[in-house]
Amino acid sequence: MQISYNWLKKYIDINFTPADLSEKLTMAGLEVEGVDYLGEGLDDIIIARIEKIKEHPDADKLVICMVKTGSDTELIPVVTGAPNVEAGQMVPFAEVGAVLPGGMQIEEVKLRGELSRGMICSKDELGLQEERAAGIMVLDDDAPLGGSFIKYKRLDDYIFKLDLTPNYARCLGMIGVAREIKSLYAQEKTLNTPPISFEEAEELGDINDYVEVEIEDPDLCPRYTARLVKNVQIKESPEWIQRRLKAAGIRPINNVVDISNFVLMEYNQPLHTFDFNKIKDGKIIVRRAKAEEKMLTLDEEERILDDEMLVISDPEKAVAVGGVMGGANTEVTEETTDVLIESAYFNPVSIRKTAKKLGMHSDSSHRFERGVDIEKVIEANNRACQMLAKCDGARVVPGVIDNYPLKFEPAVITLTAERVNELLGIELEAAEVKESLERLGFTVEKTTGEGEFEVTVPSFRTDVEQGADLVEEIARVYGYNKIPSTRPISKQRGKRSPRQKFEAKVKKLLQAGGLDEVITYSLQDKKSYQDLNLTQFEDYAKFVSIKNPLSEAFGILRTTLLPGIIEVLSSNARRQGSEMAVFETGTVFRNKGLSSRPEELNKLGGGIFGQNNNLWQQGAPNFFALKGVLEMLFNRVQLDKYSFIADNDNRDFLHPGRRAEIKYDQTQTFGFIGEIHPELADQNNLPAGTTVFELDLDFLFEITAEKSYQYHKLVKYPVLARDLAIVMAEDIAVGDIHQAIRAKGGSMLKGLELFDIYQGDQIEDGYQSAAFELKFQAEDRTLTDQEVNERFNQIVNHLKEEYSAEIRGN
Amino acid sequence: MDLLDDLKKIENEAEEELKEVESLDQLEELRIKYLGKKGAVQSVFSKMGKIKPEQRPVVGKEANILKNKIQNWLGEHQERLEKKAAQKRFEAEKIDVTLPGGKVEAGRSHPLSLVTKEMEDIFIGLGFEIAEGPEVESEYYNFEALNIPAHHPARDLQDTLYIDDHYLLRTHTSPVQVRTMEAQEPPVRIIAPGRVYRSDELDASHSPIFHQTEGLVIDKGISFSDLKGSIELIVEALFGKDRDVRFRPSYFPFTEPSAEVDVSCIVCGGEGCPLCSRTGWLEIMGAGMVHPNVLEMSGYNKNVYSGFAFGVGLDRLALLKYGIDDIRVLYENDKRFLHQF
Repeated sequence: MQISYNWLKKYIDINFTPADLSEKLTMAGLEVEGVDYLGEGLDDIIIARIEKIKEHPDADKLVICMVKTGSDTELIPVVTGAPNVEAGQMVPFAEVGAVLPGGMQIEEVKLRGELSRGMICSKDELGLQEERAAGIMVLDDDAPLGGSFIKYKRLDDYIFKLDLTPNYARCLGMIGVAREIKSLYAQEKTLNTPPISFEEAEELGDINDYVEVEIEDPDLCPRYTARLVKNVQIKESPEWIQRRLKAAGIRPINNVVDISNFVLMEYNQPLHTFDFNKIKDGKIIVRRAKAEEKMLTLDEEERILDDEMLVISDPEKAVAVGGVMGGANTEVTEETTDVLIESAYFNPVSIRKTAKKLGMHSDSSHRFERGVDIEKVIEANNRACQMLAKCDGARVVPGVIDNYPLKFEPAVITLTAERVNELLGIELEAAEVKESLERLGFTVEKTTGEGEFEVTVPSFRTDVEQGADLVEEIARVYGYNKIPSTRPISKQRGKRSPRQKFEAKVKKLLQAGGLDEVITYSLQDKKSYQDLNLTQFEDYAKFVSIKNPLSEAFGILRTTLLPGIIEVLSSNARRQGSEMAVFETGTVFRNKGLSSRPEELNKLGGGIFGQNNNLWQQGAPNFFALKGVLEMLFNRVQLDKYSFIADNDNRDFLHPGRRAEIKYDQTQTFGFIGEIHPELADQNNLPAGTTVFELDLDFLFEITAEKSYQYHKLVKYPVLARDLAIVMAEDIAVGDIHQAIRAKGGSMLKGLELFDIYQGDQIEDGYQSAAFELKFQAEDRTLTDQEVNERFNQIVNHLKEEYSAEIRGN
Repeated sequence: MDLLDDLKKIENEAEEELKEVESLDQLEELRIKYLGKKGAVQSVFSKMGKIKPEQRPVVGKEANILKNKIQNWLGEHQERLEKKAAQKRFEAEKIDVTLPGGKVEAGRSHPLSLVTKEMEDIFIGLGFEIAEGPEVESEYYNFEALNIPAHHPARDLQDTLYIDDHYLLRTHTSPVQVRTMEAQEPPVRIIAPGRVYRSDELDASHSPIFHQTEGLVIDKGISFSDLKGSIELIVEALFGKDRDVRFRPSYFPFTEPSAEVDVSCIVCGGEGCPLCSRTGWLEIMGAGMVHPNVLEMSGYNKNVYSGFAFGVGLDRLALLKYGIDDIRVLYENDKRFLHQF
């Protein structure tokens, strides 16, 4: 909604500076998004007259206009190529030194040898239209010579662009805004609503002789008024009406349409005008549409209606979608002579549903769905008649049809000053509470209760329903910024939940491990899942689709963090990042079937590329770097029963020989790690060897949450270390041997670490060597060599029996 | 032959020769020469038989004194040589301390996480707990229970992404208000940071996915002035003491009275600049007294309890705090960006 300051002043005589008014409106809750000065950049433009036109001696397409800017000033030569210049024209003129809206300063120039001392302007040069004008702008003959162009064109106006929230329906009209300003900032001023008087053409009889209105569905249309104006000539509106509408951002069309729009802007009451002669039998029926009923609306679209929509119809056909848009069949055209004016109150919910279903949001529906002032519909109708009556020959048929089956019952709200003060934290006297509300147009009656009032809500306050709404009104009058600041005493200790603390800890650990935190979109493109071959993994194909997506790129909810992480890695690699390591924690979503709430899981995912420490000579530095970070994480959250187990048949998006499931207690898979499949890495611009992981954060929390730190007495007995180097078949997992040694080593085996694996010279083909350091220690005594040797030999024998492993060098 | 003279001579010679000694080997040679079994001092002892008996104690005493003396000299000299040798070794082991240290790259926190954590810490200090709620919400929690009935114009304030007829992506963190009230008795003091969704086209200042923090305080006797005081404190914690805060009437269906909270522009301080659209103010959060309808629907007695709620856009906060001019940068995760934090 935009309003003109000059127009506003017609209703309330205020003198605030535009900046001040802007601030006042904003602080009243009518947020001003911007203020435009219509005369912006036109201060230097004056009105001149072209006295005579001379040919340019040296150019066919140029002429020299001799221009006068005052009755006794000398003639100024202006060279122009505009095709429409004529002697005697009044024109907007920029003298030498003047600045145009674009910032260009006019200088004295010679064009093809002829002096030019100024510029006759076109509309686009004045910023009055976007497209290039064909010639100069020509003003009316009565334009004052030498006068200010701004004044003459009434461009000395400010346009306020208001962003009104739904509770400011009353301010969708000029009178409403003026009333608001008066209540809050200019109580002493009067609200100048237009005095309405016009002549009714007695000889035409009475409207009831012509028109009949029947409301079949009063729930959707509690009030319908109609007036008839005959003998109207359809033509352009007077300049002042056009100017007002343009200032409000409405395009002028013809006098009838413009007047209805003018009243809409003035009273916040949408009107509709029908070509009366096209209404069968002069009978208006306000009814629900029939199912599948068709109607061609003003915008030349055929609409298919349903039986929840309200139509205005005659005995034969629907002539308007009530409160939303008129029908083409009764449109006011150049042939129209008799105009039926509708001013009604329609049910807001019904209007909103209809406008939504039909995709027709109009200035009318916008107002009706927020609620108009049901008590003002007649006044608005009369205002339109008054304005139409001023058109040549128009004659208003006496009388108004007012069909008002559901009378307005104002809400009455009981309120106590005490409650107001409690809720706002201020100390108003009962009288002040009363006065505040009365200023805003509420009727306030004292009851017998202490400081208690009965507040009657005026019909224009369609937003006020209960005490809290009144409290806000009182706060607005009092001034939000005058309310003191206090702080409630806290009775509880602030804290994070154990789950939240856990997540914070996990993040910290991963950062300590060198991983950067990333945050990626949870809405994704299904296509990226296909590109990454992720849909082959069943859980990842359980997409939750968005019904009304912005685009395919935001079409589904992520089922895994991987696509986001992979995109981060690949986009950084493309930007010549040589290494990167990231993680993300976030929600993923899994479809649980029609109409069921999708499952939301908290995941931890990450990825890495660019590592070059070829640990264990496996040629997978990224894998082992990332695995190392995860092992550190698990150790630090005191998860001990985890294992990485080769993943043989799941997750085809990973390298078949370089992927592992992360299991808890050997059985429960709660995550995975693996290299992106080389082919996919290639297709997705990922460096070779890029490794990713994802695991279930909630599960990790569940299995670790209970643990807390517990001190173990430091053992003072010596450690006996033994190295164990074995040779075994190369397809035996070192992890299995590790576990076997640990199991056999019992409680005296306090430390076990792999320090070398080897294949090649001195090792038979198909075999590998692995070397471990074992540390033995007892908590209660010094172990003897004999004890340790016995245990060591048991381990060796076990490995021999179970894995055919031989001590190396034997 | 006077043995005492011999001793004097040995002493002088030893002293002189010691001065020339440069290495531990030479020192050993000198020790053997003077103190060895066949050394100079011993040779004096071995000549004792040839002198008068009454002279023997005198010469013996002097010879022992000389022996100790030389021994001390040798010891001192050895210490000097060792010290020198060590010094030499240290010099050889000298490193260039200006060479770079071993590479330890600590991972960074995403700026959105930093802002979220800062908010959480401020509120925990004020006695708040951190609440959570699902991102896929029902119509009821996202709208109905927040006093936004179907077909109310307030639904236009947020363009919603729907899953189906029942479920949608929450458009704000406000559903957590309702979920919290349903789950616990008052008093309530929570904030609920989280991800929210709107059907907004992606551009420099809009993202279909962004983050908010909801706040909710409910107790007996909570007033609008409590809301103001609490929010002023938060703004001070986030933006510093020098910022002005203003509250202006606004509209949220689930609060009444409602307010928009502005802070004086962090760039121009109120003079007016492009960041604040020349208004001098930056809109940073919406707030208000919890609407009685919301209290009632959540099962709280609206005549006994009152409360306030607020919502802050965390992405916007991060943009303001770190001077980021494009919201998309937050989600691109360029390493050069991440490593600025």
